[in-house]
Amino acid sequence: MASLLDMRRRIKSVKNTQQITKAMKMVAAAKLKRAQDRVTAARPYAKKMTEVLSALSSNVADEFSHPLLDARGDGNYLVVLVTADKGLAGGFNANVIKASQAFIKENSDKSIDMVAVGRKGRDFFKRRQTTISEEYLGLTGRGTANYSDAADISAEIIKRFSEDESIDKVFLVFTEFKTVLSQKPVIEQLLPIPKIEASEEDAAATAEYIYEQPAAEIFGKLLPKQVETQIYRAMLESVASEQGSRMTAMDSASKNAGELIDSLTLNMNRIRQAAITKEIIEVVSGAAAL
Amino acid sequence: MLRLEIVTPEKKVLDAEVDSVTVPTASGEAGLLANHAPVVSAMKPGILTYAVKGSVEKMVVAGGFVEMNNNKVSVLTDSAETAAEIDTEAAKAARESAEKELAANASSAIELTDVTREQLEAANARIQLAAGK
Repeated sequence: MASLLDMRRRIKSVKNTQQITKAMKMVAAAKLKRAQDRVTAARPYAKKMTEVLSALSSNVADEFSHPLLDARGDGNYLVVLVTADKGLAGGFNANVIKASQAFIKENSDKSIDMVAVGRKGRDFFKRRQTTISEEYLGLTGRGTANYSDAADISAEIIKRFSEDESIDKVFLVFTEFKTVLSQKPVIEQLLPIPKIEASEEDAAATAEYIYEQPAAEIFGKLLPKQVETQIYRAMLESVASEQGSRMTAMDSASKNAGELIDSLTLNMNRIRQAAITKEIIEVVSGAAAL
Repeated sequence: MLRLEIVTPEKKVLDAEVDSVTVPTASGEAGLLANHAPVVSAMKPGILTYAVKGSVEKMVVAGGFVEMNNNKVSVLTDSAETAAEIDTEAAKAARESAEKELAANASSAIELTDVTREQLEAANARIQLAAGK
């Protein structure tokens, strides 16, 4: 049986761990709030963008051709994987990595190249057969994502897509933030841009716009922006999911630590009691012998 | 009166009732007043001006586009800054690097230098607005 001192030491160490998980939970909660605000702040832009794009697409002739829109072959994929830079966030990284692994397995007949946004995804696929052509690390650490970073990533991807004929499709794998408790990895096609359908309501409301430049020209200018917005949204959602996931993980870790401390304390008291009883017996039997 | 809304991907910069707006569109400066017909235009980097009750406010906007409908002007741009927010040193550095790049690619096709020229225009607009305060 463990000695009293050993038990005390163990309890102390579990308490220390609990303190750390508690602190991490608080930090994650604060960052989550910030990340959620960012997601909300990014919404008006994305909404207006989609509105104008769908209005434009109904005004642009069907034969309109743009490198970012035109379908190509189906042999070479580029996967943009958005993960966190840090672990200790429950199943967050594992889930999104698993989703992309499943995707890669499904498309094992295609040649797949990867762009890793976030250290965890990079580290995982670096040790496997997947080629990682580009990596962006340390962008999401402060609980926010910057639009300029998203713009850089998207500029690089668009450049490769339009110059390099060897990429046929680009997919974006990230974690969608639903609630603090539920996040879901999703795979979206980024390029070529899926056809933007104008809803009837939009089309009716926007039919009478005057276009200062030819509609096709404005449309062409907006398409790269749409890609930027998509990547930015993916990064923001991923950051919010990461913090949410970390918060719940740390919350249950703190709870587990609490339970462990309780059972350890009970055990320790038993040992203490046993020691005292033993001592009393010794004293009593010693006195009886006299 | 019309409503002016300037949004960037990161936040809503401005949402106010104004008397008039002048935006740097791709085909030149365009003034918008109340009851203007619905319009959509691409925007190049430059200075956006709006008037509220006689006072004129200025902002530097990066490229993007402007949409007007129902007496509401929506400006969508990568960034929007007032004179006070501009980092003149950074803008000057940006101008220099853009000019250098343009000089280096002087012989290439005009489409290829689109991005650099936009950066140069944005830097120039920033410097101009910062100096004018």
